[in-house]
Formats: sequence, C-alpha cells, structure tokens
Amino acid sequence: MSEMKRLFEPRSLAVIGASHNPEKIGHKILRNILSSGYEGRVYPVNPKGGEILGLKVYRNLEELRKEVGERELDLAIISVPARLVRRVVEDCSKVETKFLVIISSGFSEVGNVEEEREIVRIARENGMRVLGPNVFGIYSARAKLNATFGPSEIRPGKIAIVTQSGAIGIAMMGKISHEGLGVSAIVSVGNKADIDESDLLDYLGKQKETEVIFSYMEGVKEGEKLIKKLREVSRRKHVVVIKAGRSRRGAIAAASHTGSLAGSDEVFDAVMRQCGVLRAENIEEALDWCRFLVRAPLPRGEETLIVTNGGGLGVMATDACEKYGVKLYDDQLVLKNFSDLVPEFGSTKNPVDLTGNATPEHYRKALMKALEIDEISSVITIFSESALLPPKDIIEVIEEFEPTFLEKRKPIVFSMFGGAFAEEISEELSRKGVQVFNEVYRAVSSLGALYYRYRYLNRKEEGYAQLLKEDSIEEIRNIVKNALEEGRTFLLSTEAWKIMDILGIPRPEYGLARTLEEAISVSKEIGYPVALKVVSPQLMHKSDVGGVQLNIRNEEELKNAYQAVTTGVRIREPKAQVIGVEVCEMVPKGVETIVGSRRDPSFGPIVLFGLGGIYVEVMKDVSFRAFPISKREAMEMIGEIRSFPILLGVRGEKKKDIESISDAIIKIGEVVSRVPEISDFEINPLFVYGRGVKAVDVKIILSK
Amino acid sequence: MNLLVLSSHRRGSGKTTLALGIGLNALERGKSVGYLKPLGNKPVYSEGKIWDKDSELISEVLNLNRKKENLSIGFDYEKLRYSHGDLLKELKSSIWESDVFLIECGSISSGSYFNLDPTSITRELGGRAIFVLDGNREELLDQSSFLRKLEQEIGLEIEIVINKAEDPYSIKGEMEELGLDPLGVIPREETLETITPRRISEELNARIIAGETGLDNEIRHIFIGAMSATEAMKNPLFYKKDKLIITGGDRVDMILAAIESETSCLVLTNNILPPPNVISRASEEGVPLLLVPWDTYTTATKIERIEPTVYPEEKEKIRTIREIVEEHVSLDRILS
Repeated sequence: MSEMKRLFEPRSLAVIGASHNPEKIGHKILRNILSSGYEGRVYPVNPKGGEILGLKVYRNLEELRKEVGERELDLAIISVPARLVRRVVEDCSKVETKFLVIISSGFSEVGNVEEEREIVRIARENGMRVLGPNVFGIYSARAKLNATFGPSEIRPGKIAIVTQSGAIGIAMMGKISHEGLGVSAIVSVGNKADIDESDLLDYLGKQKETEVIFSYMEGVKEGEKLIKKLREVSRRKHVVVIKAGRSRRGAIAAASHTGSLAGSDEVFDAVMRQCGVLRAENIEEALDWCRFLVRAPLPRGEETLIVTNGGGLGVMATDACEKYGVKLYDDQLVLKNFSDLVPEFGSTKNPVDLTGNATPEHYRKALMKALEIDEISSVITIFSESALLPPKDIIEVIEEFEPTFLEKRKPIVFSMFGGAFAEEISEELSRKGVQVFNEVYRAVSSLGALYYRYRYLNRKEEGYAQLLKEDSIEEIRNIVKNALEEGRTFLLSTEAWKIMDILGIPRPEYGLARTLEEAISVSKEIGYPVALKVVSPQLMHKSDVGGVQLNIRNEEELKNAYQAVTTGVRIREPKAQVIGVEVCEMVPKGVETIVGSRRDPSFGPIVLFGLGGIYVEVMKDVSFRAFPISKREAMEMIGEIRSFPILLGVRGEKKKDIESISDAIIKIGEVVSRVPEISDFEINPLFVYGRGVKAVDVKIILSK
Repeated sequence: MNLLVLSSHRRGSGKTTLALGIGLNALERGKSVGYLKPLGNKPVYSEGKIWDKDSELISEVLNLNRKKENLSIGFDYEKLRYSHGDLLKELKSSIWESDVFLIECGSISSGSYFNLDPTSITRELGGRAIFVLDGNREELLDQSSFLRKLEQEIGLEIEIVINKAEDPYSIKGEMEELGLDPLGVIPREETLETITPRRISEELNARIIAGETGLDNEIRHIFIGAMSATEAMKNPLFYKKDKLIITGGDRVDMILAAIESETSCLVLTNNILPPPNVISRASEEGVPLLLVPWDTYTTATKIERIEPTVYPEEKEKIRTIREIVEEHVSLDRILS
C-alpha cells in the first residue's frame, strides 16, 4: 500500500478556514467536496462557528475533538492566511492528522522559506505529511472527492494530473471538463515543501484506475528520487511530462566540458527518455497524447499504414512519421492487395491514396483490408474535405471501425482536414471520446507517442552495469583524500593516470621529470615523439597558460619545448608552483571522443559521451544519461550521437572499439557515483581505435 | 666595434625600444648593426624551435640576416646549466662583426649566476653599459645615484637614458645638479603604450571568436562591464574611444552596447560564449571578441601585467621609435 493512500482516499477530513462567504476559497472548497459525492466525514472549522452549507462548523480542532471524539483525521485542508498556518499545523498534530493540504500561499514562493521549513518540521515531527503550501487542493475519483477550488464538474476517468503550477492546474481542470476527458486524480504540489512528484507517483503508479499520468513541472528538487520512481512507474503507466523553463540555461561557465554541455534542460530531457517518460512541448500536445494513450492499446508491431484521399496530406503524413519515429509498412507485395479497392489513378504504395474520388465505401474496404492483414499494426486515416464524403458518412466509418481496430490491438488515428465541416465531425466524435485531429501532424505525433512507449516497454529490463570492485574504489578514494588534504580542488595528471590504471583504461606512457635532465632520459625511454605538460598544483588548465607542447621529435626540440613550457608558465602564472613536467608518449591518432561524468545539482551523477577534442564545443554532439545505467544504455548513448557513423568506420576504415568506450563510460560513472568528493571526471580526448581506446587527457575535479 | 650593453631596473622600461631606435638610426647613418639577447624571457615556441619575442622584432626590423632562434643562448636556467659550460665565452663567440652591436640584458643582477649580468658582460667584452631608467622623480633620483655609486665601486663607466619622462626639462635639471649627464631623456610617448587585441589574445591564449579585422585596434583604456548596460552607459569612461571591455559572454546587453560605442576589443570571461547574433554583430563591426576561461578579476590582472610591445608590422610605431630616439638621445655620443 502506498504511503499516500489516505491523501487520495481519506475517510475523514476537516476544512480549516471554511468560510461563510461564498466568494471565498474556504467556501468553494467545501461546496466542491459536498457536491462531488464524497462519502467520508467532513468537518468545517472556523472560529465563528455556526453552520455552512448545512454542516455544523467547529470553532477549532479542540472543539471538534471534544464533540465528535474524532482522534484521527486523515486530511486537513488548510485555507487560512499564511501567518496563521503554523498555529493550525500545531493544532492538527493534537488530533493526529495524517495529511495537511496547505492551500494558503505566502511561503517560499515569495521568499518566506524559513516559515515553510518550520511548518514542515512541526508536521513531520508529529507524523504528518504536507502537500503544498500554495496548492489548489486535490481531486480523487476513487474517493469521489473534489477538494479543490476549481471547477466542480469533473468526470472520473483514467488520467491523473500532477501539477506544480496552481494556475495551470485549475485552467487544465476547466479544459478537461469542457472536453469531457475523464480524470482519476488531480493534485497540485505547489512549493513541494514536503510531498513531491515522486511521492504522488508512488500512489498513482499503483492505482488501477490511472492509466496515464500527466505531470507539469517547473523545477525538480530531488532528482535522484524522481528518477527512481519514474523508472518504476513508467513500466506500468504512461507518464507524460511538461517541464517549463526549457530556455533557461544554467550558466555554462564550468570547469569541465561535461559541466558546460550538461545544461539543466539537456539533462532533464535525457533523464526523461531514459525513464520512458514522454516529454511534451506544450499543453495541447500533452493532452493529445494523454487522450490517445488512454484509448489506444499498445500495438503488436511497428508497421503503420496511411490511408488518405489526398496525395498532399499523405506526403505530409509521411514526413510526420519520419519526425515522430513512426515506421511505415513497406511490403509492396502485400500492399498490392489494396489495388482492387483503390479508385483509378490511386496508389497502393504506402500511403494508400484513395484519391479525391474516394467515397465512404472506399475507406470501408481499405480499412477492412488493413484489419485483415496481420503485418499491419497501426493505421493513420486521413480525410480531406470532399463532396464525395458527407460528414455523416465519415462519422459512421470512424464509429464503425475504431472499436474493431482497438479490439484487435491495432491503434488507429484519424485526421480530418477541412472547414466547418471538419470541426463538426471532430466535435461530435470528441464528445464520444474519439479524437479526430484537424492537423495530420498532431495525429501522427500521438501515434508516435504510443510507439515511443511501445519501444520502451518492449525493452528487456537489464540490470545496472557494475565493473569496479570496492578495492579499486578504495584506492581512488585514497588518492582523492590525499589531494584534498593538500588543499587542491583537482587531481594532478599523474594522479589521474594512476586512476586510469586502477580503472584499466589505457593511457599514454608517461614519466614525471623534475629537471631537464630527467625529461631527456624519460623521453629516451618512452621514445620520440613526446608531449610535455607542466605539472603544478595551481594549474588545472595547463594549455591556457602555455604549459603544454606537443609532438616533440628529438632532444634538441625537447630542450626548446622544455624552456618554452617552464619560462612561459613562469611569466604567465608567476605564483604557480611548478613541480616539474610530465613527459608523455604521443599516442597514435584515433577517433577523438569525450567521456565524462559529473554530479548534476538536481539529478545526481550523470554520464556524457560525444565526439571529443576540439569538436566538442563547436558541434556539441553529445548524449547524456543519469547514472547508473545498464550496459545496453551505455551502447545506446554511443549510438545516439550524430557522428556515430564515424565510429562505425567510414570510407573503408575499420569499425571502432565501441565496447571499450562503453566500459569507460560505465567506469567513470561508477567512480563519480561512488566517490562523492569527485564532482567532475572527464576524459577528453579518449582516442578510440579499431581495437582498444586510450585516454589522452584526463581532468578530475573535486568538490570543495 | 661599438658594443652597447643595455639593461634596466625593471621589465618594461624600454630596453628593446631603445635598442630598436639606436639600431634604426645606425642603419640610417650607414652603419652595420648586430643584436643579441643572451637570456630570453619572452619565449615563442613553434615547430621545435624557440626564440625570444624581442629578438624576433629586432631581427626583422633591422634585417639582421640571422636566425631569430640563434639570438638567445637560452631561457631556462635548468637548460643553461645542463647544456653549457662557460656562457660568457659562448656569448663572446656569438657576436659577429658590425659597427654597432647591441646586447640586451635584464636588470643589474639578472644573469649574474652565469656571469651574464650587464656589468660582467661589459667588462669582459669591453663595451659600454647603458641603463634605461623610468619611473617617478624619486625613483629616477634613487636609481641614478645608485648607479653613480656603483660606477665608483666597480670602476666601470655606466651611462643612462631616461625613458617615459613626464617632464623631461626638469628631470634634466635634476640630473645636472647631481652632476650627471644622461645620454638621453625621452619623453613619454603615448602611442607606444597602447596594447592591441592581438597581443592580448597571444598573452592570454584567448580564443578569437569574432572580429579578426580589428586585432590591431589600439587599446588605451580598460573598463570592467560588471554592471548593467544601462548603468554602464551613465559612465563617461564607457564612451571613451580605444577601450577594452572585460565582461561575461552572457552579458548580451553590455556586449551589444560596447560594440556600438567604438570599443577596441571585448574580453569575455568564464568561457561563456555569447549567442550567435552577438558574434555576427561583432564580426560586422570588426570588434574582436576574445574568450578566456578565467573570472573577471584574474583576467583583469593578467591584462594589467601585459607590457606594451611593438610588432614588426607596426610601421607607424617603429617610425615613432626611430624619431624619438633620434631627437632625444645623443646618438653622436653613442655611435661615435
């Protein structure tokens, strides 16, 4: 049983701040509760006492306790001015209240953070959970409870709505009730001082009435908890999310590329995909998807057929399929079956073009055929306004075929393009729950959403990869500890190389030289050409201060490069202490990639992969995942970047060692998640060869 | 051969400027010129070779016909210790026959470890020591009195040239009172003290993201754009020509206002790339945008540390140097 059960299914509730004035929120909530058919006990509380809407009003909770003997209260809906909320919460603790829904605003959303924290503290100490503050209430179909100050007419159904914005929530309730959509629950989370999306998902994910969960978010507070919950819930329910604040980018000033590339929105997007959550651009799209997902069954396959009476709309539908990841059925032999049904000049290629001469009968036959052919797993049906297609007949065709298709687990979407005529059809069918889109892109987008879910749910669940033993992690912790004790905020390259050895990621041959003489002998050992890098506890960005020289071919050049590096750094960074130089093997050129991991402020450890070296900043061709990930997810990350074909080998080149990249991604993700003192860990570039990889430069930043 | 050993009390006093001025005038008078900077301190490394930036300038402008990488013995003491025996001897053998030979040293003590300090060189090679002095009145008095005492102490004649003098006339008077007769008193020449975006991008390893055509703009003022553009525009400094503005790449309002107000260069801190429209605006106007990884304070400190320098292509500046040296330095005494 979910911890949130009594929030959604309270046996008793008090409305604190119930008002005699019909214009007040405290009155509207009570009226909604009474008119929604709630069967539990309802206690209005107001110091004035008297009676509201036929119910006796208690002057305070003490009086309620004395008179009714009510010791336990499942829900207290609090709608009093902010300054009084704390008193009320203290009172609630005395009657053993389970949940507090704090409607009142004037807390952290206006900077009053302290008061909000104090309220949550009092509540939690007394075993109470808080929804809000700054919410519009809760609607729960199962409890027949509308404890909101929104519209009173809400149809029970299968969509649960969780919203952070009260205003959007109320407007959405209006829109939903206007469109006749059924809802299983509506909750606003407001300031999320205590209960957040993860808590609510826990209940909604287990509740059988709910099939689709739609969540409007503005900010994520406990990202790691949310990821865990979403991964779990989205295997049972469709989850659609709108996250506002797409355009707001975190400051890209970051010490690592991983940091600057992993803007908050990019990370959010990656995390949602990883959890199988659908992310909608806008409310209309979200509602389109919700409605369709509630109605349509999961298909049995990926083969989609388009039936249209307009060539142009067919082409647009094809483009839309490309955009939304819907695959078109392409077996020309089977498609020949449609040739008898298609009027003259029509086409039996997919899209099946019934031409402007199409009559309702043509549609009937084509749809019948699509039902018969097993390989066809879903259908996009497009009607273009035509004198041969009377609205009444189109409605008939849709009503005749839609249920049969759904029964046979063949999702079907309809699009009708035209004037008043089209509106009429769409309105009439929408009242019956069937959606007819006026725009073909919207229809395909909905089908695309279903396929996105289909693919996610058809993936075999795979355990998280773990490649590192505790011993290795312990060794890394010791290196980090030592650096922190020396007051450093990053690891020296010599330490980073040691970590590469622990991780088993190949690195160039290197040696630390404290004098020119040592540099010469190390170079001889390694063999020319070599690279020189200054080693200093104060210099993280060595090349920015002229501390790196590459491709040194002989001893003469080494002497010159040595001078350039040491003198250059002395001039540019007079305060930096130079320990020596690192002499490094110049490794053979491979495909330059970047593998990184960092602790995201809201989602915890994330990993990044992309084309590396100088391209990373310009091309930004990278992919993200929240960590931990499975081996397959690591492979998918690699496959996701646009330049993936380069790794597959172009122009006769051999395929690159993708396996080793995925190991590197997993390993450094593991390090960042298991060594909390590391904030950023980045290999850039990681050279990838036909066999094996080599870390050419490694940056490890510590959290202060 | 007339061997001149140039040194100063601190970096940036004008040794290279003086060497260039003397060299140009010598060439004009039909004399041949040589130059060495035994200890380099402005290394440029490329294709396995290393040379000093000052040597590069002198060798190109004076047409020395010597490889620039052969004009210094070394840069790093480690390397000098490792690969050389008697450096003074090596210096001696590097000098080639010319009417005037310039040796650029550092301060009075620098290079002393290898006997490459200016007085050792002068004594050993039989040249004339010339100190370039700059600073305020008190510093000039101290430095010249000190040199005078040193002269007596070591029995070596030391001549002085005062550079960047704010008030040449009164300084000359003061020197006369001390019984000194400087070789020259060169007044401050503002055009030689400007730096360019090119120089900043080199010194800071900054990435040039727009406005390459303006890399040789002159910079005379530095303005930190830490406030909003509206506030900045209330500050008269913001409207000065030839200014450098240091701000963040996300300060779009500031950058755009700067581009419109005759700014020579913008240095964008914290590696924050501005949006594409800003970059293209800067390109259109030829205002260089230089991207650096540091915060504003560190960036400003680094820029402050950059010494003005002359590039071989800067014909105008080079002409000025020749002229001021001709006008304010007793070349007859030097070149005789």
